[in-house]
Amino acid sequence: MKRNLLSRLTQSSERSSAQPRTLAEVRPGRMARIIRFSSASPRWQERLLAHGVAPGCVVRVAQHQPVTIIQIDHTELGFERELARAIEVEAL
Amino acid sequence: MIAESIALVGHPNVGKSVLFQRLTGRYANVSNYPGTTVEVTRGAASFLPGVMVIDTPGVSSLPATSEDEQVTARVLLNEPLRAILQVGDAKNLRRTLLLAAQLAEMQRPMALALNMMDEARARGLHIDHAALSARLGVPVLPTVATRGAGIRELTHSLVHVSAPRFELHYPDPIEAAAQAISPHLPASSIAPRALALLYLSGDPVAEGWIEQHTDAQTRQHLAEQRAQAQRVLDQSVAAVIQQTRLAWADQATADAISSHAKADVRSSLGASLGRLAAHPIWGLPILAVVLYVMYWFVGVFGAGDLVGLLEENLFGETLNPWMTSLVQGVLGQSLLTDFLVGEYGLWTMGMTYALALILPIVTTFFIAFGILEDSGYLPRLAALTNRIFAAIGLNGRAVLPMVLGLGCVTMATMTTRILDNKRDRLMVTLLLALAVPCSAQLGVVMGMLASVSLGATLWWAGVVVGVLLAVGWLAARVLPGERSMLFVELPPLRLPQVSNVLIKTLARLEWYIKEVVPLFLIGTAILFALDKLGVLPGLIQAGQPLVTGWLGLPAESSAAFLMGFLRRDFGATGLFALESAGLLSPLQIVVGMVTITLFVPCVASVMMIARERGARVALSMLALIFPLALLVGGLLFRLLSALGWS
Repeated sequence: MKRNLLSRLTQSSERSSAQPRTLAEVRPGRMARIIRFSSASPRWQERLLAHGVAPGCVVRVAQHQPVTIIQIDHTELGFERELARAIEVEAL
Repeated sequence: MIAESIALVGHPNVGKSVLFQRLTGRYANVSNYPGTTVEVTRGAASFLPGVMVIDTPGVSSLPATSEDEQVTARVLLNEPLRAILQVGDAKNLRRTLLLAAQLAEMQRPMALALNMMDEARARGLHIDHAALSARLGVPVLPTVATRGAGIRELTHSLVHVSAPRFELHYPDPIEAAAQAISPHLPASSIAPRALALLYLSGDPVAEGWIEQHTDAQTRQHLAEQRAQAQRVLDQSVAAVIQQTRLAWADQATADAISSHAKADVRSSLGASLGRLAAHPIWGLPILAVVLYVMYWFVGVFGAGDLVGLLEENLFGETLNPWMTSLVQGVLGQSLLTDFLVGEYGLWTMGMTYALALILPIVTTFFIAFGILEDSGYLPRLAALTNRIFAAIGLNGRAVLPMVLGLGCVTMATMTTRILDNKRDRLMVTLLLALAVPCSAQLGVVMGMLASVSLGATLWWAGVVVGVLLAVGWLAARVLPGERSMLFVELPPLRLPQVSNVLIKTLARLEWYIKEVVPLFLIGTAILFALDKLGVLPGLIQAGQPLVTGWLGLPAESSAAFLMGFLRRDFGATGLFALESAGLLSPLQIVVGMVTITLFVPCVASVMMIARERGARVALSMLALIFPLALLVGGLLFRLLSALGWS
């Protein structure tokens, strides 16, 4: 009961386009496969790679506000939406 | 003689400091790594006589992107290491192995502790650590540091570790460059090939080390090799190297891990709470409660109740009169008596300040900080407040020092070291010194403004916040360097470990007594000299025209301003006395309060700025803040006069 309530409370009401092309467009709660880092500067690419976020891997988007939070393996990462826009994905 | 050390290396939030405690027992020494403001903890290994254990700051990988990571890189390159002990999060095996590959390539004696094994098991993960051990060539041991499980096996293997012969094969351009570079590198504590790869990926620490140990001609050769590798690759060299390692880590993870029931990470209570704490709406009330509790504990309980108890009762009524009569009994009325127990005496001012006024604030702060650090809440705090700080060119990490400043600016200045880079630290230090009133100031300011009107309080708050935003906005444009985006890992929320918080607090307090208390004594000695040389009355007199003519305040308030800078309670009392005597009009109160808020809070905070940022920065800040505070105060006086205030 309690857990159900907690997880329902944490659902974000963000709406995005049907066919997401970047991580920033993936609806919270959905999964996506990373295709490539399009415009992320090398420094941020390395930061993402260091956390195991690489082309080919699957991530789950938890929310976009106030920052984008993704889940990869058993880790959650939070970063600004600007970086999420630089990550090209395909929806799953 | 320098003792050999074992370096604990690993990602943030993998339980390094708890494991450190298990390996060293109770005594730890926290100090800044030489030349940096990054904390490194050292302690004697309880299982190996004469060997030190170093707890390095968390790294996600090298090349180092933050000052924390640079310190870890320096430990690996410069310290006489007996072994590297990687601490990894068992449930995030892929990421752990990514770092393990990089460390094993250094070919130093090494062991890998797969920590938090209980959490991995709870998620239905089974890890074949023998297979991993064979693959890496280093001992891999499961541990649960919080419960002490697996520690004996770990210490046993640390006594006997040997260097692995681990190498990965990289794409041809990188292999070619690494092979061309390696023979030209001077001997370091890590394998030449590993150093070459660090250099190729642009690690600033490796570059600095190479610069110190090679001649210009060699360096040019190295730079050419790196440029050539980069020319034929369509991604950065660092990214290609990292992807190669990641491919290895993917394979190793797939082979070593078997997942039974795929338990969803979202279902645990800690994870749900963690998600709630970062939620755009539900996170805000949680944030408000956390900040309020912290402000109450440090600002009200520490800076108010405890300081009152220690300063007024213990020191003011008991210790200081006793000390004064003791010294006077022995030395009579002499200069030395004055130096020890006079108005600016080493004991009556310096030690009283350091032990009765600051120590309670520091202690409560260290406890609060330790709890936040251990619970995993800090990154969520940063995520929630990121927007606000983005507006002034910072990121959400700045929230902690800024809120703490409302308790004690001196300590808040110290916590700017949790920020990513020098630029952010400098900016937050400036904003703290300029526009964040500490609890002592805040108390007097609020009390005096409340006696005028709500309008007066709003004017004061509006001007101070306006200056904060304007200076932040300007500083973000003037200071070199780009705004760094927020990028944080959000660990599940956990209950903090009492022993971990206490041990860290004790170690930090020891640092405070050894490193910061002397600053107060030096400051007191300087004041004593200024007073005896008759400079203080001169300064008060010199300030008078500015105070009366430009700020429109009574001449007596000049002394209050100066004393307020030297000792915050003097200044507050001075202005309060003027108000009680009916010498201040509402207009003068608003102008006086705005100006004193914008002034540097106290001499201790200036000392702290000098300590953390250097004497030059401290002086430049004073040179900026004093005129700016006076300028704003004077303009406000004219504006309010024109609006009909009197």
